[in-house]
Amino acid sequence: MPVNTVVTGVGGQGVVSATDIISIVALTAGYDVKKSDVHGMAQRGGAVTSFVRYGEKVYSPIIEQGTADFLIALEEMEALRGINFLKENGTVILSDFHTPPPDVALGFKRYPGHIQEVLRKMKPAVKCYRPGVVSMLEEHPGYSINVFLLGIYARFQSYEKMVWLEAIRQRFKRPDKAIESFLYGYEKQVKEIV
Amino acid sequence: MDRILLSGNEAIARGSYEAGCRFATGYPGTPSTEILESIARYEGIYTNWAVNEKVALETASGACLAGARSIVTMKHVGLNVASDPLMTLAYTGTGAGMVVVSADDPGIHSSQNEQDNRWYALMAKIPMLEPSDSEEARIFTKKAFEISELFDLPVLLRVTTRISHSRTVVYPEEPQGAKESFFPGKQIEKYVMVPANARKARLSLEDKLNKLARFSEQCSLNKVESGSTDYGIITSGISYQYVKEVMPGANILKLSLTNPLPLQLIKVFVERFKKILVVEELDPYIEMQIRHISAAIHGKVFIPSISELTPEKVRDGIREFTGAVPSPVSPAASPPPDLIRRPPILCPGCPHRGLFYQLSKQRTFIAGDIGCYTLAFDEPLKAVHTCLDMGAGIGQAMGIEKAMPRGSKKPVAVIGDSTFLHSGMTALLNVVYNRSNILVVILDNRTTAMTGAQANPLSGTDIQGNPSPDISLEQIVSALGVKWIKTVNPYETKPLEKTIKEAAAFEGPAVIITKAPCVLLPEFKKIRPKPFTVKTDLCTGCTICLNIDCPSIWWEPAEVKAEGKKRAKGIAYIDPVSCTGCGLCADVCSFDAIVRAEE
Repeated sequence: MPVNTVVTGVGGQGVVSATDIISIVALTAGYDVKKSDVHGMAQRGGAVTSFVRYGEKVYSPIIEQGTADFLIALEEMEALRGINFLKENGTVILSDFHTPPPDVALGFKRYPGHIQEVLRKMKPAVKCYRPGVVSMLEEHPGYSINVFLLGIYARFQSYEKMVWLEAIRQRFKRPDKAIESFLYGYEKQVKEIV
Repeated sequence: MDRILLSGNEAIARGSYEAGCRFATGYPGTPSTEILESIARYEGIYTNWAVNEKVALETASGACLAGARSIVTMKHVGLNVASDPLMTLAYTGTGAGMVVVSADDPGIHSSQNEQDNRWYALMAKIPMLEPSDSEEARIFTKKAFEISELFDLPVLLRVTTRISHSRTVVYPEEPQGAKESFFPGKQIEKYVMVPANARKARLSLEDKLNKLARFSEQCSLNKVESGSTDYGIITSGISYQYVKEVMPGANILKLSLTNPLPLQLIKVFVERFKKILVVEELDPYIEMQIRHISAAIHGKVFIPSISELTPEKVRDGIREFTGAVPSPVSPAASPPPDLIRRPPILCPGCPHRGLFYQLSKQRTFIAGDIGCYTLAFDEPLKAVHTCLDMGAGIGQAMGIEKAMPRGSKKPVAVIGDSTFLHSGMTALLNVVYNRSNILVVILDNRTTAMTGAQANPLSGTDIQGNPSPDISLEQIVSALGVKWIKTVNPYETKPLEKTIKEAAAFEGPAVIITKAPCVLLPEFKKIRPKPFTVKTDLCTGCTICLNIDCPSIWWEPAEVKAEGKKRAKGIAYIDPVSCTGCGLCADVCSFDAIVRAEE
């Protein structure tokens, strides 16, 4: 069975490059790979979902509901938009970074405070890690959220660290900050939460 | 060569390169845009962005006449524009091989409709190929050039968003040499479609179709995959992948050359099984053409014809059809029903914002068009009131002006630079010719922004980034006969407001050009360096800056900030990371509370 990963976030956060890197790593390891996202609206700020699947043989480029092994959310409430893809006992890697959607920015609605509540209700159906994106950005303002969370994700995969670093170099023209962000996540102590 | 990951669009570009294609053109449109952008990076293929799809197809026809294999790319609605030359190209034939790519958008991810362009192949009487992943996209593109030359017909390569924008494994091959091109000889009977010649061409087209039907029966691209089910599935394109995903052991007839359909092959397949399910996205294109073969053929009763297919929908359809497939695993959780929507909005710093802020204050009808600026339809601006097709807004505004009661407010049409050049110019000429009293605003941001900043004739560069001739939008508008033309800076809202009033008062067609580069362009960064910030002691919480709909401006409720303020329920906050420093918010603030941040 292929390993299925869903990445969600906000346009401009690097959702698409995150699944690009995962797919380069899986290709290097000799797997069949398919990744799919819908892009082409150049404007920023919309919700973005991207799928990547790897294994011996992959047919559908999109992931069926309830079959994702991993959900990586680059923005906290966007985890909820992708939660239906996650399977029981799936793993969530959750950003604590918030970008207010228009209705919140305009003061019509409050940013949802119940994200961890939703995840808690799923317990023990889901494992969740929330490695502190906001504090990372305070400490290292130039770091990238997407690659940092890939560093956490990489620890659940069987690939060598070097394969990840090579994939990051392949994906970005100036990879230095991305590599630092990745290693910061790769080496960070994170505990399961909720 | 090593296996690589390519999107379907990149794979079509690769296939063109391998096929010795010499000429590539098209108009940007999601999900097709990256095909031409990728082709432009290969050596030896002349590539350009055309002003519209019809011109692109006609140019490619010329290149084929001169012996160059040519590819033309567009989104599904682009083929509507190019359908005029396409219908008759089937009569004349193309000369060298011609591939027309239609990238359809089931599910309407980034379009105004989800039409199924497979019908165009049937209507134009031309061959059609439907790949189901990137490797097939590469191979089928090469095959399409061969079939085109074998039958002297344009070939429709029909892909969908999921094929174009998914990355899957490709095994690239070495390119074959391109054929020498030449100055075309005069083949008047073949290429001049006056009625006498067209009637003969119609007969020879029928002859080609008969030969094509026999070719389709033998074509190795249409193939049977034997399985263990007592039913059979007929499928094509991305739907094949979903069928394999949920029923890997099914008997499958995978159709790839889908016009003309291999009816004999289908008949033999159908007779082997108790019943047949046709799994296809959007319209019952295959089903309608084969239903006469057997009453055991089913399709759209079980497979939805609206929106994009998914593995879930195919699983549900097959389950209902057979009662035999296991139910899907239930998701661990569902998104809460009240999850706040996050639609795309105009970028921070977007030059369109100032115009729509001013237009939102006018009580008039604003006919819109296709581009980023369509997004101004939504709260809080609500300043775009129609969106139909490329170039439609000018005509719609004119129709409103002619039909509305006397003394009504002058209607407005807003249109981007690229859309105006695509199909707004003729509509504006129609306005002038027929003495229509409307205001047209051309939003000139020097690029085709919505599809990711592709060059157009006003950008000053071509697809490869080389300089292109200076073209003056003002001169074009003037040459179309417009007497009242003003170019303005859209960030200066007060002069802009005055100009709009003057244009509205002018008796006759008026054109305002708002000129400022798109934020995606490098020149934007050069002019707008530092972000803005809110002086919390001066902000009264009046919310006027929120009305410009900038994603960098957030409302901070009072209990968070602005302690000691009278009445204010909150104040504005500007996100320093996403703010581009365009200054529009400072321009609309009545209390000088928004200032450029210190270094």
